[in-house]
Amino acid sequence: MIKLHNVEKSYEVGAGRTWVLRRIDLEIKEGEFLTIMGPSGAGKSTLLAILGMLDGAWTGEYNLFEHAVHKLKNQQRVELHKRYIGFVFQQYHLLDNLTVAENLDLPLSYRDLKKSERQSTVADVLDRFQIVGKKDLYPSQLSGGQQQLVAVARAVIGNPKVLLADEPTGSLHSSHGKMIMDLLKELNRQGTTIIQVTHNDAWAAYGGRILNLLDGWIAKEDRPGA
Amino acid sequence: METFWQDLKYAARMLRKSPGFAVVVVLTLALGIGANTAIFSVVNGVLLRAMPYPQSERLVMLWQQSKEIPEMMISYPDYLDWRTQNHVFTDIALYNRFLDKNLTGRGEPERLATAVTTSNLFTLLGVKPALGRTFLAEEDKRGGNRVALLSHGLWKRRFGGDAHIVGETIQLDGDSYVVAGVLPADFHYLPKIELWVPMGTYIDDSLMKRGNHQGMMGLARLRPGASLADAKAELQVISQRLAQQYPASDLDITAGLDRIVAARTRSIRPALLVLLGAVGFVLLIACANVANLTMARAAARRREIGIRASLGASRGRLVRQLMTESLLLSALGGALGLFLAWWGVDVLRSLAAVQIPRVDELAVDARVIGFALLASLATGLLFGIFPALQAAGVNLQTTLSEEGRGGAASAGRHRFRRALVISEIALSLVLLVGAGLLIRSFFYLEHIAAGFNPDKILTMRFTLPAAKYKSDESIATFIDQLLEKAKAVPGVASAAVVSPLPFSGEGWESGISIEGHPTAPGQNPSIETAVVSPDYFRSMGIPLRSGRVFNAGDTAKSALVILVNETFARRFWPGENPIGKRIKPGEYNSKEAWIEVAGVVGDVKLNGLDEDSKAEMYLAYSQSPSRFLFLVAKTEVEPSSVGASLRAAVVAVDKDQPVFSLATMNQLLADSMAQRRFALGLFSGFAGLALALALVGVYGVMSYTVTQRTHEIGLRMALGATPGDILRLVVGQGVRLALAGVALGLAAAAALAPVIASQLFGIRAGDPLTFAGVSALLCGTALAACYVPARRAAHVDPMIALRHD
Repeated sequence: MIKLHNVEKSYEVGAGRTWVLRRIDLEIKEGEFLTIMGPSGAGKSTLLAILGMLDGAWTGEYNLFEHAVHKLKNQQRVELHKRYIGFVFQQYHLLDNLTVAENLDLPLSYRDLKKSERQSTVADVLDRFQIVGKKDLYPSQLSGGQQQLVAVARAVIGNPKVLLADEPTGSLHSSHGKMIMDLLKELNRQGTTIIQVTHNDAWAAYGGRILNLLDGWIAKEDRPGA
Repeated sequence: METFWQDLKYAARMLRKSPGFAVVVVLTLALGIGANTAIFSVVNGVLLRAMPYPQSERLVMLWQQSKEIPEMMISYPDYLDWRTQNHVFTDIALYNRFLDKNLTGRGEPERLATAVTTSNLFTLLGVKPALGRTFLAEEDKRGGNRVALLSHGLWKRRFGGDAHIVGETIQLDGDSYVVAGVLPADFHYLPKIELWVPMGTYIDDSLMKRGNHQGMMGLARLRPGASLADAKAELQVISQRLAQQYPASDLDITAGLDRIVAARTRSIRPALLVLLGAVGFVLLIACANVANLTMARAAARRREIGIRASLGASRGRLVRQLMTESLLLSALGGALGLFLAWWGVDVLRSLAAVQIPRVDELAVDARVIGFALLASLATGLLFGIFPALQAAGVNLQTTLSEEGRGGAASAGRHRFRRALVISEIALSLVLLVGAGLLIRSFFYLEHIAAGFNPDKILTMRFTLPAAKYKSDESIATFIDQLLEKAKAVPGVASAAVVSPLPFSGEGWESGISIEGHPTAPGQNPSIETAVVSPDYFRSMGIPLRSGRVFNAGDTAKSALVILVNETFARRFWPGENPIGKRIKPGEYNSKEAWIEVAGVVGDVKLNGLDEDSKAEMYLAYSQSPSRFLFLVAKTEVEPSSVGASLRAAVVAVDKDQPVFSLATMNQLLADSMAQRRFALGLFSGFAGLALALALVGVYGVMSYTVTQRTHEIGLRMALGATPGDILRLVVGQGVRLALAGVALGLAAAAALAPVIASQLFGIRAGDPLTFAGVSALLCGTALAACYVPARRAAHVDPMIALRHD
């Protein structure tokens, strides 16, 4: 499903160069739950951004299904992103001035969908995540866990094949954290490929494979269940 | 006081730390305050400042009026009655400023702008001569001394400032006058007048005839304790008495009067007040812009303000600190604005030289400086107070958390900034609609046919002195010889004389009676009248509608004939053939002979393109000679190139005959539009400035909004928004602001447009095309202003935006 070959990212700093990712070779199969770990600055979030096609400034080869992402133009990458990718952030990133329902509608509004179709999808997701009662509330009226729940709901509303989660529980109390992780596991069971970044060993164990990054290199790969 | 200095020092330091902000604010305010101060200096100089005469607030101008004519000259016998019968004035003076005299005998002959006046004018104005004396009371009597007063300018220019000029004899129109005195250099009661002669030299049988209104205006001084209303009431009573005594001449004739400044500035007052309002709008827009900048800056300083508050600063103390900065900025803007106004007043004076009364008195005086100070203070308060109140109303917890999250601004502040931009757009729209209406009126007027073809026509003016040209024959002979020589000048296609010339500022109305339409005494119509030579109509391109124009057969010995224009024919003989109809000068039952209409010619505008065509009749110069003449030459070449040759033609006929007021017909037409052009130029300038400020305002707010929404925009992109989506999002927001501003502005413009209705011509104050065009222009401008921030937003890197958190 995802194949990275010799993916690298660096910045010019003065006369030298700072490497963020070095020679990343990685294959992720459909339906996998992959955890990326590593200390701060190891390149975890950057790798996630490249996988999510939010970062276009890198070298190497990236194949997503039959698409050679490295050969695509920016506009084509945006289209691919819309088709396959969902994103969950540590800070939830809900829009303060939009209600829960409007936040859920946001990704759909960027797809070529009729309003009635969008409304029905939003209603389904509200129901599925059991947040119908909160649909008219603003993010500031929700707890952190509820906000992240909405953020996950928003990430999957477009039915993505891949859900990228950048420390999805980083800002949450542990009980809320578990709720979110259980939700991700359930989504994975239903067929969504999950790639998460976390510092937490317990949440890392939800994944079938753990990738450890260090200074931009893949330092180690574990399979907890194996 | 110590805290004030501390605040001031801190404010100065803060501004030094943000020089870009300070420069933009000071320049914006300087433009606004400078433009306002400059226009106020015109209003002050023209409308407010007292005339430079002792107790000038007691000076009033007098005239006469009837139902048909709102302002007519004063009949001399009526003046004598006013003077003896009133109890409200210390005295009334009378003068005629339309008398020009030819000065000969000392170098080149020269035409001098001359006024005739009663001797008391100078005592009324409290003017003492620089040399000699002013006029004596006995010189008001018919046949009194032929004496003259020189203006200071004339004395210096023509007589080299000769200290012994008093008692010298000069030749005016061929008569000898003794120089009685020289007026002081600062005497500018009638600025163009260079020579004054006493009333006694002017009185003749015609002037003494009650009902003859021969160019006389009155000036009176109210007695202490008497009000303008008292004066009006008493003159009303006297006028009624005169109407009963002399119904033939004074029926329905009343007196008009107003304070001298108001009377002299009546025509320009509405335009100046509209301009003052317009420039006030520009200052409001500038304030809105600066308030927006200040809000943006205050948002960036929330941490500093939060810390101050956490250290115990009260809200009032914070507001004072922030207001000190605003007032410092407005004071700097005001100082620079005053400098701009100083320069602007010079520019305005040169622009307005011919069209605005008292323009030579424009100056930046104490009142203007006071206005600039007040404007600066008000501006500082206006743009500073809301941002200061908002910034000082901090919630510490929110501030710290917001600051921790990158300083997101509250919805309240956003709303206020959006409201400011909407107001700016609305104010700009009002100004642009005003400018649009004036521009459309102007072009409408420019394309209105004057009734003649003004191209390639040169005009010049001369007055034949009565002493030299005593008989009608001598005048006719002069004109015949002049026309013969003028037509022979190379480049001249045809030449004619006319009196008076359209658009020369001169007019002549004469009372007539129409055969078959008897009128009661004093009720016969007054008709615009001109004396012309046969080629006048051909030279001016005035079409003949029926009958014939004058020809060589119309002589002093042949039957008298007249030509009338179409309006005349329609008014008096609707649906009839006017050829052969008869009129006579004066009353119906007078002994004057009936005169036949020989032809009908096209209508001609006489003094302004915006006036309606009036009934006019033409007399042949050979049958009714006039000594006040204009030469009109239609040329095949550039008209001004034949000026010297035509002047030489006049001198060749009479070497002592001065020629003056050389102008092309197109220049005269342009001069008639000058006051409109002046107001239009300024108004358009202000509207342009407003548009530029609104552009900057929209740009500023959208730019700031994009910065504030970087995170949101990044997120939207992370959720699948394309650059096109983001572009539409930002531009859409700008367009919504613009539309709200346009809607508000349209309502305000519709309410305010009637204010400039008096300045419009040919279009209604609610002209839909202007409203629609201006709205489209503003929306387009707002769109352009949004585009740059929108492009920036569309290129936000979602990862950088999101990591910002």
